[in-house]
Amino acid sequence: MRALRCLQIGLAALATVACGGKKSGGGDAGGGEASGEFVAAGAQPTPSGMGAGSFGGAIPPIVKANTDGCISTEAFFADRIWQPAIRPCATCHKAGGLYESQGGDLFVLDPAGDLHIDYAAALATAQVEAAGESLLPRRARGEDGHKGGVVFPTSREEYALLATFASHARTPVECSDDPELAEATEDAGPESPAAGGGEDDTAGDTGGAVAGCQGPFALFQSETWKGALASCTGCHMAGGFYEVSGGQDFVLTAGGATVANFAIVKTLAARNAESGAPLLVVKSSGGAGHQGGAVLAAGSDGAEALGALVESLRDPAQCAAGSSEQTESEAAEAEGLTLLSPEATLRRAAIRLAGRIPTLSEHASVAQGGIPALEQAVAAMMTEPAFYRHLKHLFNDLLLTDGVKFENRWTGVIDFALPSSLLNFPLTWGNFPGYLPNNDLNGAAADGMAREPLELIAHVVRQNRPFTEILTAKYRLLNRLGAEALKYDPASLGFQGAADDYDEYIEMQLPQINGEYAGILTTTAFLYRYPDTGSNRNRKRARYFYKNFLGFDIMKDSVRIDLSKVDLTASPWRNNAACTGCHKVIDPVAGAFQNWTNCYGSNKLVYLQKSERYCGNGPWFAASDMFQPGTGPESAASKIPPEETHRALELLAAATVQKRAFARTMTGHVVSGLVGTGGSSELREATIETLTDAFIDSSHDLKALVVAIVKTPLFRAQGATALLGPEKLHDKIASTMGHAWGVANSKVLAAQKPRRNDDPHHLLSMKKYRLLAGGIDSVQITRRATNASTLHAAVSSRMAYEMSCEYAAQDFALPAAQRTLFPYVERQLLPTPANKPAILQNLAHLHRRFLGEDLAAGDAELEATWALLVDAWQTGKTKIEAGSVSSSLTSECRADTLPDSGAAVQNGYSDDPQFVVRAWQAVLAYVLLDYKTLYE
Amino acid sequence: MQANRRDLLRYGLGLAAFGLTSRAAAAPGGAGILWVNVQANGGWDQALFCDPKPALRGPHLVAGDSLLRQAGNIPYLSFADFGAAPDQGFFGKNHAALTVINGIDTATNNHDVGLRYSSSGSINDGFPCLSAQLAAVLEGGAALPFIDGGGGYGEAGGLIVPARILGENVPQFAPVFNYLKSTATSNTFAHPDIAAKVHAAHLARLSRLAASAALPEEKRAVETLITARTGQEKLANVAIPPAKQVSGGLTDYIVRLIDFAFNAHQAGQSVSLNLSFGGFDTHDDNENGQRNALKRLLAHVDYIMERAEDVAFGGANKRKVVVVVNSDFGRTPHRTGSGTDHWQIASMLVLQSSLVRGTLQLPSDTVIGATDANLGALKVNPTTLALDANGVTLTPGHIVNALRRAAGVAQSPKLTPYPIELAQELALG
Repeated sequence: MRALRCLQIGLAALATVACGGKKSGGGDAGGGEASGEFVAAGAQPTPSGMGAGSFGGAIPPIVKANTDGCISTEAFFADRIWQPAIRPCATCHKAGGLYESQGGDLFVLDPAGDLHIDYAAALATAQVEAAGESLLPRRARGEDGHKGGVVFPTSREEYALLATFASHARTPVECSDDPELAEATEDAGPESPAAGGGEDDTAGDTGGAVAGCQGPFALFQSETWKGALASCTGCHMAGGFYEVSGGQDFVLTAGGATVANFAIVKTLAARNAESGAPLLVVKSSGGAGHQGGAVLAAGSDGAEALGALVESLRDPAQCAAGSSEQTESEAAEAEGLTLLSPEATLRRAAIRLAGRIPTLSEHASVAQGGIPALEQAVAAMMTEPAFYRHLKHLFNDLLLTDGVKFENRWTGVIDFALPSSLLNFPLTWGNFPGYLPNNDLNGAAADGMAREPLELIAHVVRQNRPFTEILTAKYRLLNRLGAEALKYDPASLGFQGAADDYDEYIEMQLPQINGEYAGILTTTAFLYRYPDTGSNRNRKRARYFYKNFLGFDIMKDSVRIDLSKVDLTASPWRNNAACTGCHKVIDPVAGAFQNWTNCYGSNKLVYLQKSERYCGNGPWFAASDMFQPGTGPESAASKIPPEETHRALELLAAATVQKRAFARTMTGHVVSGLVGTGGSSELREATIETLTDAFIDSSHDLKALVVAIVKTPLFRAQGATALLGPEKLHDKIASTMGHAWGVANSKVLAAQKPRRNDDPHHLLSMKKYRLLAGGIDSVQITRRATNASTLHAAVSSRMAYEMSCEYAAQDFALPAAQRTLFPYVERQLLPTPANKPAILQNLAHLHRRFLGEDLAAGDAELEATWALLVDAWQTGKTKIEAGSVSSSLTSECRADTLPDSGAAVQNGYSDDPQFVVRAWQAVLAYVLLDYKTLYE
Repeated sequence: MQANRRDLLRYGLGLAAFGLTSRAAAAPGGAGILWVNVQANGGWDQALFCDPKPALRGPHLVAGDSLLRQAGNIPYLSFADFGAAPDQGFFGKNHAALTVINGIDTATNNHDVGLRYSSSGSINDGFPCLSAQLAAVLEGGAALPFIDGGGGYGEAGGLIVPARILGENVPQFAPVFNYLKSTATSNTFAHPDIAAKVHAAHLARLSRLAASAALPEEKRAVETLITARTGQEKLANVAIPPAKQVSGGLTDYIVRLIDFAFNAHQAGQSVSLNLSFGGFDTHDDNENGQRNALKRLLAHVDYIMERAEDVAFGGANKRKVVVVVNSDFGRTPHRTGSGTDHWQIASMLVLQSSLVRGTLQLPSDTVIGATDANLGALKVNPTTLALDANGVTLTPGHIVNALRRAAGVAQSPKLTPYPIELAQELALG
């Protein structure tokens, strides 16, 4: 029955692990339980080269075999051909790729790598002949003017395999997978080699066919996805033309026949066209205004299959389908993920969201109240300043607008001298006109303006407004200095904070920009970070607009081009088919940015009035020279009328936030920023899709999204850790130690206010270790480190040694009840067996506080830490007795003055006659060095 | 012979029977070399220097900048001397070390794709850059095998953890490296033995964590930290270079990063370095833009070669260095206003220091490939490397593949996931 259950789960990707994964990964090729379902004695007929030993453990679970040992051509394709010889072709031959954009329609592979679609395309191509030979190997070796040239020389094994596949393409081997097979497999039970044996609980065909009945999900998997719906993926995949054109209801995602895609189809299947017929069926035949025209001919196999699926979905009583109702927890379990307890999840959430460990009351509350209490705790964290700091970092990882901060580049974005323009870039410090009293203030003003996009995001979330406002905000958000730099009197603008509070940002109207406000899009920082040039005509801005807000990167869409056949003198971006595929997407949005320009080569960023557009050189580019401004890819519906161009970005923003792609892109980014590694890509995709729906349903409530993310298996999976960036590591150290690393220089911090370009904290300063600890400067280094390099290790080692030195002795000087590190021991307490119980209590405290480990007495890790303490103590004590080590602490490690203030320590001391303090120092360094300190 | 050896390997025949055992067991030819990849971001205009087209660019240059000059066997445009005497210009000084490859078809006008293709040899997303490929195979336990100066294509493809740092970071190394020296940690624990015990206990704990990791990803992360922790001690052997006063197009912090990489390499702790230089996307003002960007880039390449030849100290401490210089693609033959646009045909430069020349089966003081008057690629005979209408059109894959072969890493199992597929390899490397 386990086999049947696995089939009914039906989540193909998860079934890989739950049903076939262990098996396929666990055995040798051609033998043992791993290959039992694929190999049988006397197997026949088999394509040449397909001996029993040829099917290794990595065979996708889609492979079909029956008890006769039959191995289908599709199985052969899946095992030997698909990844090495077919998927490389997807660079050009994917749906929406260069091949298709140039009219090719035969060999169109699935962008997401769906085996069935790829098999169908490869088979169809292999069945076509040229010069008496299959097209597939011919093209692979560069014949027939293959534009991709030689993909596989004839000497390559991949070529030989392609040729073998092609030789069988005319009469592909199809093995029986009739009910008898399923029954036989089920009857065989889990111990039978025919069923995979051992712990495995799947039958040979995880494609979803259940004996005697195919539920809708099984139909979807086994028939419709690879057949009828394959016609839809060209336009309806996420990021495809349907979505970037504003479509939301039918956006399929990577991963193939996943639950997420099934859910989308299921929802649509319930709808009717005006005629009363199922909308999906009507659209597929070109009706109901389907822009893709007729993709399935009436009466065709595809149309029949789609109709059958719709019927099955509308009548779920047909047979028990299951599958789509599978919970995320079940999905996680199926992937082998173990979820953290609510308390452990709380710790992870507190560190990732608020940069701190949980409070005792939070812990107690969640221990008692479970997930509902966790939700409340997470919601409360989102009122803390640290949450907004990290939220801004998270979104800077996407927008990279901090790249125009003084802190990062020592250049700024403000021109105080140009009344008709707002800003000028780059200005060095020396070039500042001195409007503000000194360069420190100028730098702070520039940084304030550079931070506007991120502050806007924080502002919208803090005010509990729909997240769509990050693009639709009809105001600018400036701090006191930014306003002052733009010649406004801060006193009249309503700032509430102190005169030197530059963290306060308020909403402002700027008459200079003629009322065009589009949230981040009209911030100085965004426009400078992605400038235009004379001939790119704002296309860079358009590219990053799509990438950042709609999750569509045009640079990954069309890879190859042959310019030798393009007349570059005749506006090819408008007129040549080799170019227009991309440009009809990019250029309308570029046109929407037309009011904001660097005057095509000038550094000045200028807002242009209607009559000045194109820097006094007339209006925007003619329709004959450039696709006209729009709110999306070229179409009548998205076109921005000429009379509306003065607020083109507002229209673009308004259209954008209506698109599901916007919600999904934002959701995906927050998920990426908060969850760790682990979990399959299918689970990630499914999670993001589910969260996107919830995000939209909540009116784009980001806080609700964060709470939802924390509850997902992806977030809660044990071992799903992530390297903490320098900003979070800084906060975590401050939280666990009670002191930040680098506060010894914090006197400088006060002196440097308001200029924040040299934060004295080691992990936050660009001039110290922020980059070495895996951070980014948003210009040259734009991706955070995901694993520790040697430099990172060196920095964190210094942190561990330095912090343990500075604060171990300090902590012992406090009354026990006030101690952070050593509340259960005294510095006179020797680590002898007699004192072990008390010491273990403190060691457990350190493990819990720093590493999130709740260890009971006798735990091997506690014993290991105890052993280190004893070893360090005995070694040091012996050396003191031998006179090779002083009985006093070194000056750096004494409890005499407070590192952050220089004040004298009450009850301070510098002696350590028994080497106990230093032994504890060693233990403290040990936990600070640990993987679980650096990763969370 | 090269092809035969590969065939032998492919068919799994023992090399001992052919008397090749000792060679096969030897370190790859690329070991001991500092490999530097300099990337010209934005698409450089090869017609202005190494693929000289005075007819195309001359009308937009002052007369003295559009002269066809020759340095050794390498023709170039006088533009690239930037007013210096020919023997003091980049080509005059470096022609003996230099191989110019012209007429390389990058098959794209897409910045991201072009830079990836030129810097990695593959058009595929996620393919590791050449520096990462070389470092992964040749690292030999080095602490900083691949130093990525940022800004360009530095994908490591999971082969190795890159050290992504800027020149501005170099002064920050000293306090970290020095602290980790035993004297510094002695101040913390009073005696280096204690630091050693902490370190040993830490590594033992990491091993336990790796063994009990809940997920494969977690296990890999712990193991990476073990590698990093093991390597960090070696950093103390790397001398931190002082800041230098620079001129002539050099940038002080980039020079300092180069110096650091040289020191790391000398200490046996580094294999490769990536540098990138922007300013080449000259849509608006081609000649002025290219002049500024190219002058800066070539000045740094020249500096690297001077370091390699130890010019400042009379050549007493010459170093093995190979510099590969590439761009996203080239610039169009025609103009858009004062600017030029993206052109899929590109050029690359490979420079070998004197200690390397003759050891890698790479030529020098030569030009491979060519373009026609309108920068169209001409085909090359893959065996003779001469122009041949029946030959192959060069691609970045040909060049990177040749460099992989020259370095002796092409057959490394570490690069098996990243094959460079070619119809015909060049007789290089």
